[in-house]
Amino acid sequence: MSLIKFILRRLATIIPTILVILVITFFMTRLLPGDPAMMRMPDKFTWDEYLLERKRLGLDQPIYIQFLIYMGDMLAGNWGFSYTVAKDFPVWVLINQKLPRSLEIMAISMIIAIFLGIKLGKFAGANKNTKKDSGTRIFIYFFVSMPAFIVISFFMQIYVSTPFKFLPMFGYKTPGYAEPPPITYSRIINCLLSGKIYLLTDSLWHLILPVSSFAIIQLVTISRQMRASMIGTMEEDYIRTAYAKGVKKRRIIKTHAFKNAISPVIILSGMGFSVVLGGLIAVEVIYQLPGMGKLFYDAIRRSDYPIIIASVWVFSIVVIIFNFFTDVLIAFIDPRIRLK
Amino acid sequence: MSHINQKTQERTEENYSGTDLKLSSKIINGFKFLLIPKSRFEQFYIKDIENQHRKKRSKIRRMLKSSFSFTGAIIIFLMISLAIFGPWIAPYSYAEAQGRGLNDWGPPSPEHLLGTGTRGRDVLSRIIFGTSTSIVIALLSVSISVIFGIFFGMIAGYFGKWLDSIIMRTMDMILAFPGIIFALAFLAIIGSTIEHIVTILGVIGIPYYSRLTRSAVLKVKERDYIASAKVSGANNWRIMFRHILPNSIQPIIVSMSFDIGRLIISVVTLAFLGFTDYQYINWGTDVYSARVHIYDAPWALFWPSVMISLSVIGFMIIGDGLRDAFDPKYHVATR
Repeated sequence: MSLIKFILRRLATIIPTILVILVITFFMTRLLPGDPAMMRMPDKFTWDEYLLERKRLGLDQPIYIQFLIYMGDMLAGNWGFSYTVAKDFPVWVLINQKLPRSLEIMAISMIIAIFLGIKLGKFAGANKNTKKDSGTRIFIYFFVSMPAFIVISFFMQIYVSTPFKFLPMFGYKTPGYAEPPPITYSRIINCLLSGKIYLLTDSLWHLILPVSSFAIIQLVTISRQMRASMIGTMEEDYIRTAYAKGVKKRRIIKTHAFKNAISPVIILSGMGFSVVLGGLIAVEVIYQLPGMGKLFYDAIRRSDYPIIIASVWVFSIVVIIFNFFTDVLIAFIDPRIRLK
Repeated sequence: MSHINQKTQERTEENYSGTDLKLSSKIINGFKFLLIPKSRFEQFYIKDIENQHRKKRSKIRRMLKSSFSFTGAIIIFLMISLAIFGPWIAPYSYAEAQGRGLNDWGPPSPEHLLGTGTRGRDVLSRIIFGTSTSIVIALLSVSISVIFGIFFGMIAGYFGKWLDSIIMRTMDMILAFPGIIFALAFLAIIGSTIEHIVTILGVIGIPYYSRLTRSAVLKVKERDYIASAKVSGANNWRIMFRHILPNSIQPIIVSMSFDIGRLIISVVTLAFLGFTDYQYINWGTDVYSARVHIYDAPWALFWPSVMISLSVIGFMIIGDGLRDAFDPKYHVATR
């Protein structure tokens, strides 16, 4: 019962957040250089025509009405047309094409990162101040300290100089291979459903480098948090009691410490999700994968404002949904959270 | 035993063999408690302060004892001295490092110790000048977020009630945004001068610090000395910034040191994506331009990356060390 209550309460906090994001993006559109009505005019025009255009665009309305119109458009997916990236192409269609690709990469790499990162953090935290711990810490510091784009360049350097050379470096498919029929949003599932296994293996083959470098970026932060949380838990009284009772160390780590150490890590990795998006942009730009990150990057480089505003909006929605699910997950695991 | 006694005697004689004035003052001090009431308390008080100082020093020493933290401290010292004394250390001037050189993507040579990068610019000078840019931006924006974060968190935690809920709900909302995306979008729209970068990165950090401050304030607020300060008629501002703040600053200092490292990464990432003030030398732009020359000029990519990683590692290790030194049981949420 209390879980449902918690979920409802959590859902209620989403609405003001969405409103604030709408206000901020609206503020962004007001900051944009240039007059939107003037931009849409032909070479020669009269003042009356200009006023008419302003009226058509709703620019003569008071600002709160403009905001309401803007809010309706944003919620309805009426995001305008691209300026420069894909000229006069509806932004909604563009984002609908690109978003699933990014979500695929994020999902795969995140599953790998969470699984391995928690293992690594558990390993380091349980053996605090030993050689095992120091080795792991050096590995973690090495990758934590590097921005995503340098990690990726590093991976490319590995590719250039070692037996890994057989991996493809750019793109998401071998040129010349057919696209699978668009049955679902996910390209990988489409490949699977199309019945041609070589399409699936080909796309997974192309994803190895980007996904592994993206996973490393997330893995180190997760294992850092896991290590800290594990060390904190290992100092608790009930762990000492368990030792005193004669429980073996492996069993203590597995059953007593791990379960208590995991919940702050889930909260923190949920909060760190918005930081991961920066890495997503770097991964997609450098490996030339068509996704939201690449689209957003192209848009900011070529000042394609409708795409920028729509991407900010979509990214925020994704982050909000993700945070919501991590909160629900944590409430499901840890009943104490529900009571707060 | 007698041997040791002799030594101590010698030492005391050495100490006392100053001027007569000193000796007399020592004697007076020694018998002051007979003449002035409560003078003993004063001495105890001084001893107590000395002890506290020693404790503090030992905390920092404890931090430096571990080899990890020691390397971190050395790295930060090097970075800061590079940032301050860069113009005297670098072989070329700022204008030359930004200008047109002779040899594009040249290998290391006597004139250019670490080779040259795009437009024949000296890599060594550029990585030295890049230090000050990153560290100055990181420090400025961290101070923006810390000042405003402490202010809002203090008000929210101290006054409580509706003010608390309004401020903290707003902060939670901002915390839920994807910060880097908002920063990129804003910079794309308003242009990426150094002031804009500092302001935006600073604003994004505010909610984190206000949360941290608020939770610390809530802990300290219930202590007795706050109540006694209230009773003795101190006003709210004095209590907030004289009594509560010094006692809740530790977690803020720890996460500041993490945050400087994180901000260096942000600054460099923004520069890599093309959002930087091109008047100032930035490691990110160097990496961006060297990225495609990874095969023919790896040095131009390698050295800026090393500098980025080193500076971030330095601040992170110091953060870890400070956290362990202040309170081994306290674990800061690292972003």
